[in-house]
Amino acid sequence: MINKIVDSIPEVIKKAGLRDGMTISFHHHLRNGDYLLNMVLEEAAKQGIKDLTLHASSIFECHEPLIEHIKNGVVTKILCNYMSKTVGTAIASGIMKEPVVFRSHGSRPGDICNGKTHIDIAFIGAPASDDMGNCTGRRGKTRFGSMGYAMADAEHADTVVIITDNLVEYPMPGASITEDYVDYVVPVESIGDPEGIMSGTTSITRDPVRLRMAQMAVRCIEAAGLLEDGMSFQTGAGGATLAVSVYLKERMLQKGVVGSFIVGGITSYSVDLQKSGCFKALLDVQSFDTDAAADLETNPAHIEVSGRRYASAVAKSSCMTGLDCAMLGATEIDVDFNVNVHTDSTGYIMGGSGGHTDIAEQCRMAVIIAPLFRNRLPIILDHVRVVSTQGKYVDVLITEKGVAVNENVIKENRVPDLKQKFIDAGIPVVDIHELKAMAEQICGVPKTAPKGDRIVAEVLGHRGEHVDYIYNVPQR
Amino acid sequence: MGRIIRTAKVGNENQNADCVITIEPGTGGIELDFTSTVEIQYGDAMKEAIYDELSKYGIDDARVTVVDRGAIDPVLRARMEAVIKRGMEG
Amino acid sequence: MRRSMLFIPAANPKQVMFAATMGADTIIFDLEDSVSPAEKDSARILLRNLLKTMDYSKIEVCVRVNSLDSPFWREDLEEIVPLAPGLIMTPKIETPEDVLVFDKAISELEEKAGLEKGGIGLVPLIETAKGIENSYLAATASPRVKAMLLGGEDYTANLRCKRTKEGNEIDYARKRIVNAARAAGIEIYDTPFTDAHDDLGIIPDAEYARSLGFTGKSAISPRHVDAINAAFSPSQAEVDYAYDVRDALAEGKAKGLGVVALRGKMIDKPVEIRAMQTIAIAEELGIERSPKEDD
Repeated sequence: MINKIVDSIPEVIKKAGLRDGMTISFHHHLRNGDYLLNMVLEEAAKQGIKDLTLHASSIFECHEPLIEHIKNGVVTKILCNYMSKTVGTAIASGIMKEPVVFRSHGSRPGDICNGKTHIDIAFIGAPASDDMGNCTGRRGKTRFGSMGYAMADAEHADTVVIITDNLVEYPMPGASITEDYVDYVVPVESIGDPEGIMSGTTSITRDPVRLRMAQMAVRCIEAAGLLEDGMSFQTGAGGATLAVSVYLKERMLQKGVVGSFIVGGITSYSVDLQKSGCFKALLDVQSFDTDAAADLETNPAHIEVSGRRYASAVAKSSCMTGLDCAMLGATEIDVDFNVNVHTDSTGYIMGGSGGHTDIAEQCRMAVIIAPLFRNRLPIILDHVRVVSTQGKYVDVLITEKGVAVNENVIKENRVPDLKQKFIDAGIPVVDIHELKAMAEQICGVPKTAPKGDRIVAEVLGHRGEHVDYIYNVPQR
Repeated sequence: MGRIIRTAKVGNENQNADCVITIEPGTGGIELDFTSTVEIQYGDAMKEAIYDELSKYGIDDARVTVVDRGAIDPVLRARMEAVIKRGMEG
Repeated sequence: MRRSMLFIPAANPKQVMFAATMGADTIIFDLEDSVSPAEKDSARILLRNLLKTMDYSKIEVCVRVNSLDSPFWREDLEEIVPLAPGLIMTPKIETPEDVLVFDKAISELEEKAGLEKGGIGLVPLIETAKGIENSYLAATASPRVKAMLLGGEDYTANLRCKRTKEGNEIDYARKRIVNAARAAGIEIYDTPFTDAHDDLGIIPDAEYARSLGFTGKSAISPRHVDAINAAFSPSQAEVDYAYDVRDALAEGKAKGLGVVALRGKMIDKPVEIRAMQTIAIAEELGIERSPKEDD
């Protein structure tokens, strides 16, 4: 009889054979409440292990101790899809020799599956697991919902370690990751802080400017001819993009349209759209709030999908393949519609593609929603500081002063004559250069922040191709 | 020639797109303490506007503290004008 | 075309900057109740600077100045009149004399600024029992008066009763002021729906105001603007009917008929006038006639 139970993190690190130069992976469903990454790295540091490659789907504020591990040589390379401000600032100021490699939520599992990135040991946090490693994110006190981003790691890592704070009886029904991939199961006191993992219900913005733009987005979807039975939809969880769900529901009910699916990070708003009959199914790679996580457990039309099925370009098909429209954000966009979601305007890393670039490239109409300026900083520039998503995949920019349509989109499945359709529907179509001029008229032309000459990160695209480099921010 | 004879303060604290400006009687010359969320992009233009507003009222002796959170030029100038007028009042 | 008038506090730079994107036909930049006495000076300067530099060409600009019983109204006018806003809203108007005090001050300032005299419209805010009783007199006190607004909050305080969502307590005032305004030949706007977090209660409130004859309604929450615009825009059926009336009249005239009927009903003068008003509004709002269905 195999015994996969290992009593502690220090012990499992020894048993799994972690040594200098290895690649270890983490998934980010515990978001800003995650304890795993810090626990494992702290122990690796204690055991004197060096030169690790950290292959984490995302890095959050709670991972600040990582900065010390980088400085001490415990971690010498990072692969991730998103990196929040604190670690991002340290990276951009140049603490790491080797550039960080940014992938997308689609290209990460793609590259794991096709062997481009090899994982020695995958550490997977499970709010419920049995002693053989059949586990799920849908139950337990640290419940986070979908386990989508961890699935490729489980399937392809040499060694798979499940860390759980809720050991249940074998065989656990409805496992997201199953025992056939799992080497060790480590029971711990807690895998994360529920406060940081998710909020109860995602709350929608009350900012009237954002709400206006969200309303405009729904008009654009309708004008493009996409608000029809069978439509599919993707939206982010931030600011104006989330608010689109609310207005979309209103309009779909008015018109009696029944869509096919909503894909992505799923929120209580997505759940509400499905429950009110606007969409038939939810494809969930990441549940953003407890309402969404709870629904995933009980609602058969709420389907857990792997990161690969979600958005991989090398999968035979993915949820993105048939996607009609998506609402996306931008910290900067340029007159060629290239979008930056990696850095702020001074060049410090504070984000990443996540699914941005996958979605934009695949869906029929990729809509960026952004105000003309935020706190005096114009959003539209001649050139974005970093290209996260290439302009040739971005169809529409919605601002509070008008809608710009990109006529140089190269997608085969794009909506034809989009600009004319918008004009016919009475949508205020404005050239992107003109929108840029409007912002500059109000804010003045910003000086460009200085850029260093050292590459601190590389940005890869949906297909794993090189897109851009991120340079260091010169320290004063 | 304008003179700042008392301490005055204008602007909404911690509000984006606004700035908080304090003016005090000076100790010989203009002393400017300037911080901004957009210092790199607009710091020079903003300082120029601050000095310009001071000179409109002939102020050449004052301590000015600006804590900016992305105020555009007409807002910054409005805050300067209001704080100068208050500081000049008896 | 005014259906919605949205109040924006003049002391808040962000709200003033984005006022033109709220969807309201008119923005009322407020120097009165939303600005504390200590910030009247800074709000006035801020508003002046932003009105000078931001683009508000797509909306109608109205500025609410302070009332005659405050020490602020004259300075408000001195700052605002030279910018030639379309409208100035004057609070707590109770008598025609109140209107004339503002009228005279504005005329002097218009002249000083080299503006065409009488170019700035006045919107008396009627918000006391006395003001309601005198509203026709206020409306006809000066040709500058273009519209009136009912202020339900102060009015109910003055009546010594509770302001409710149902609004029974302001029903008399609403009907009285609509009648006064129409008698004077000016526009009339309803009091705001004051629960900013209630996105649904606004709908019946706005529809009721329209049914009483109000031209439009004011709002203190941007979230109420759409409901107001919808309530005060003609419906597609109303627009189609208006065009049918116009067609029938044209046809009747061509045939030399004295009396024209549509769907068995005689088109008399009031029906014709209403149809023409509806068509004018529809054209301004870009509401087109439904395509005729072929048999």
